[in-house]
Parts: sequence; C-alpha cells; structure tokens
Amino acid sequence: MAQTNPYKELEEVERRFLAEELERRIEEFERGADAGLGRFTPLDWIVCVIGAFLLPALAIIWWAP
Amino acid sequence: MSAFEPELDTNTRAELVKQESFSGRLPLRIGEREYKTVGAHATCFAYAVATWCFLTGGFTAELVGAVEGMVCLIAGNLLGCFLVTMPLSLGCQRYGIEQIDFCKPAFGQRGAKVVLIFYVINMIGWSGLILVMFGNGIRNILHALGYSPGGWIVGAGVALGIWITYLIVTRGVHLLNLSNAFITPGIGILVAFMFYVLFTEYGWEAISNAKPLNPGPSPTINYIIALELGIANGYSWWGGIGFIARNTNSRRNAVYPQLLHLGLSAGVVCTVALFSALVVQSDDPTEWMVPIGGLVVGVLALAFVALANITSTAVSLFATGLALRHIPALRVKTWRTIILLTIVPCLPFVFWPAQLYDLGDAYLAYNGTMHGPIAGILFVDFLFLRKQRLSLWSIFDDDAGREYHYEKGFNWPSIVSVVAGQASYFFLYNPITNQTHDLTRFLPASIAAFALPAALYWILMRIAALRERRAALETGIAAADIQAGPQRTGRPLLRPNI
Repeated sequence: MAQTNPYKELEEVERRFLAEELERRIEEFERGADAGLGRFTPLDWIVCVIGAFLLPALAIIWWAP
Repeated sequence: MSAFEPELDTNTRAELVKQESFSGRLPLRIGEREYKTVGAHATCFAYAVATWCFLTGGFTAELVGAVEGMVCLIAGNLLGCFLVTMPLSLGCQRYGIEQIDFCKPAFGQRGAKVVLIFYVINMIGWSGLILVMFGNGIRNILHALGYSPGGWIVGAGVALGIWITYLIVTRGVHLLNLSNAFITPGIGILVAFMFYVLFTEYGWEAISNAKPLNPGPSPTINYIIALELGIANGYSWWGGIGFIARNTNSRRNAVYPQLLHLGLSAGVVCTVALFSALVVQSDDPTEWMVPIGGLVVGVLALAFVALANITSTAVSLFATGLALRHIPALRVKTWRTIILLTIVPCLPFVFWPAQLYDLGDAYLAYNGTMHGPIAGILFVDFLFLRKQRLSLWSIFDDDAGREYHYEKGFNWPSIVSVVAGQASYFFLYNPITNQTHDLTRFLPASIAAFALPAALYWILMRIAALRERRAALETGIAAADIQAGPQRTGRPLLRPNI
C-alpha cells in the first residue's frame, strides 16, 4: 500500500489555499481596488521629466569637455 | 483528494498570507502596504545611503576630477534612475507586485527568468565587491593599529563577512531591520562628517584641483566613461525599486522618493566619496577614513563602515534569496539552503579579492548593459503599448492558454531586443578594455542600450500585432475576439505559479 507523506499533503493544502487567496486578490484588483492608490497626473509627469531627465541631460551636455 | 487531508486553522492561514504578502509574491492590498510618505522616503534614503556609493565614487575618481565627476555622478545617476523607475514604480505600485512578476507581460513567463538571472548577477556582484571592501577595512584597521598582516587578511575578511552575513540573513528580516535602523543614520552622519572635514580641512580649491587617480589620455573619453558609471549606478537600482514601490500606498509615494533618494541623494553620497578619493588619492574607501578623520575617529569610522558593509551585503543576499523563489525547484527548499546557494558565487572573492575588486568599475559599467535594455523594453511595454494595464491572471498562471505565455514561455521580441541592446552597448563601449567608439561622444552606450531596444521592441510588437490581426481576419474570427485575443482570461488559475 502506498504511504502518503503528511508533510507533502500539508504543503499541497497550503499551495491550494494560497492559490485561492491569489484568485480573491486578483478579482479585487479587477473590481477597481486600485482606485484608492492616488493619482499621477500629467503635471507629475512634467515635473519628473524636467527634474530627472531634461535638467540632468542638459547638465551632462553643458559640462562635457 | 485524500480523505484525511490536513486542514489549515485560521492562524496558519493568516500566517501564510502574511508571509506570502511581505516576503513572497501575493499582490499587496492597499491596507497591507507599509510605506506612506514618510516611510517611503525613509526606506529609499536607507537604500540610497549605503556603502556601494563609496565604491562608485572611488571608481569615478580614477577618471575625472571633482566638477566633472560630480556632474557624471549626480546627473547620470538621476537620469538612469528615472529611466528604470517610471514604469517599474507605477506598475509594481498599481498591482502590488514585485519586479520579476512585472517583467512577465513583456518577457513571458520563462523570459522573465532571463531577467531574474541578470538580477541575481547584479546582486551577487555588488555583494562580492562590498565584501572585499569589508576585508580591506579589516586590513586597514590593523594597519592603523600598527600591525602588518599579509595580503591573505583581505580574503580571510571576505570569508568572515560571508559567515556573518549568512548568520544575519538566516536569522530573519527583523535582525536585518534592527541593524539597518542603526546603520543608515550612522552612514548619514559619517557622510556629513566627511563632507564637513573635506571642506574645512582641505577646502573647495584643493578638492577641485585634485587630479584624477588613473585617467586615460583623452579627457572626453574619461568623461564619457565616468558618465557610464553614473548612469549604470542609476540603472543598478532596478533590483530594489519594485520591492519598495509595491509596498507604497500612493502613486506619488512610489515615484518621488525613489527619484529624490535613489537618484539624487545617492548621487550626492557618491560625490562625497569621489571628493574623498581625489583628496586622499586612493579609490579604496577604507583608505580614506584615517587621513580624513585622524587615527581614533578614522579607526572608529572604518569599523563602522565594515559593519555597514555587512548589512549592505545582507540586504543584497536577502533580496536575491527572495528572487530565487521564482524558480519552481527552489520554492520548496529551506531558506538556509537558498541563502547558501546565493553565497556560493561569492566564494571567488575569498580567493581573488584584489583581482576581482579591480574589475569593479567594469562590472559597474556592465550593469548598464544588463539593465539598460530591460529598462527600455519595460518603459515602452508598460507605458506605451499596454497603457499601464496588466492582466494579473496571466502573470500568476503558467498555463499555456494565458496571454503572457507567448511562444513556449518567451516573448521573442523582448529577448531579441535585449540582445540588440547589449550588442549596441559593447559596440559603443567595452567596459573590460575601456575602448570606446567615436559615436559615444554623441550617444552614451548606456543610453543607446536603453533607447535602441525600446524602439526595436515597439516595432517588433507592432509587427506581431498586425500579423496576428491579419491571420485572425483570414480565419474569420470576429473583430471583437481579435481585440480580446485568443487567450483565456479570468478564473480559475490552472497552473498558479505562486
């Protein structure tokens, strides 16, 4: 008679539980749970592009030997 | 199903969810996210102000002086950081996922493992270099105290560092958090102290007139290579950005702290290191402390930096261990086994510390090769092609019918684009031999390694979409189905990869 490994069985049950939890969470995100995550507006983009891309690029060009 | 199947009680379920949320891969709900505005800034600052900045500053001092180096380090780091941060932060934050999962829409289920390899190489390379710094620190403390150990002491120090790191990482994240709570403010104070001493004892004139340590014959090429180090340092944050972003509670908190600290603050710390290296005329950070701070303060600072090196390595190996959980065969292994596996590639640093440390600048530049193309592809994929919308069902399901399975698990346009990006980098700049092409005067290699794969990926994905649409029309599939795609959507997860 084949012996069942209790640790393997427990691991399998844990995996199944996690998969169910994962499905629940994905459905929450699909229902729009990310709506409360705040906004990143075009103004934010302008600030980031100028501050972290254009100005550094200009500085690099300006100080190039 | 077995008739005697074990059941999970409520506590076990809660513990499992907690474990898989914080140190695993479950998408984080808003309520579970740890970092609000202050927390996000503090965590990014802790990442940014670490001993790897000392290494970058030291390597840059080999090539250029204070002003040019400062521009390359601050502007280059900020620019590199911007290019990797925007898609990763916005995507990982929106869906509460970490960066390897975020790569699956662009690279495919198996293709994302290629990115994982780059990620692990990045983390282990940094760990090895920092461990050598730890070994150098021990040697220099003994020198300052009047002992003259042989060269073997550095390798022995690396071995000791590996052992302590193993103990910290296997004892759990709380020990890591505890040590970081002391180390981060300490490093901040140390950097401020170095800055103060440099300007009061030496002054701006001495700093700005200090000659680079080992420059090449062409000032332009030296500047270009130093810029490569700065941009590559910005790209190197790729490994930490997703982890922080998925834990933040708002989009702005995911982006601004990363740009301000990983981009700007890290560039400033690298610059202080650059000034120190120029003044002391050594690229080894452990040789700066005694000349700058005097014997007592210098030895104390050295001991502190040595300790900080251990926590930096521990953070790095901890993140590597988590990332390795993506490999199915390693999901069932114990945490100790996984950490042992991450330590094995660090062992060469025990035997050849000086030789490998000397390759550090080439390794740092190589980060540009590894992460530039990935950053470019993710930028185009998430922000332009997918309009910031991903399918979590397809990310977490290995089933071949899902959208991100592509062909045998690989999205070939992205793989081809990565190869093209790496080739363009080496065409423009070879970090091993330091040879550069004339074109690098107009287009830095790490920017080309970002832009070329981004453009190529966009073109290849457009062509693939057109071909798919044409094939679907020929076989008579309705327009609505073409829009939706032939893939399975929604429940259930047939092969959940958690």
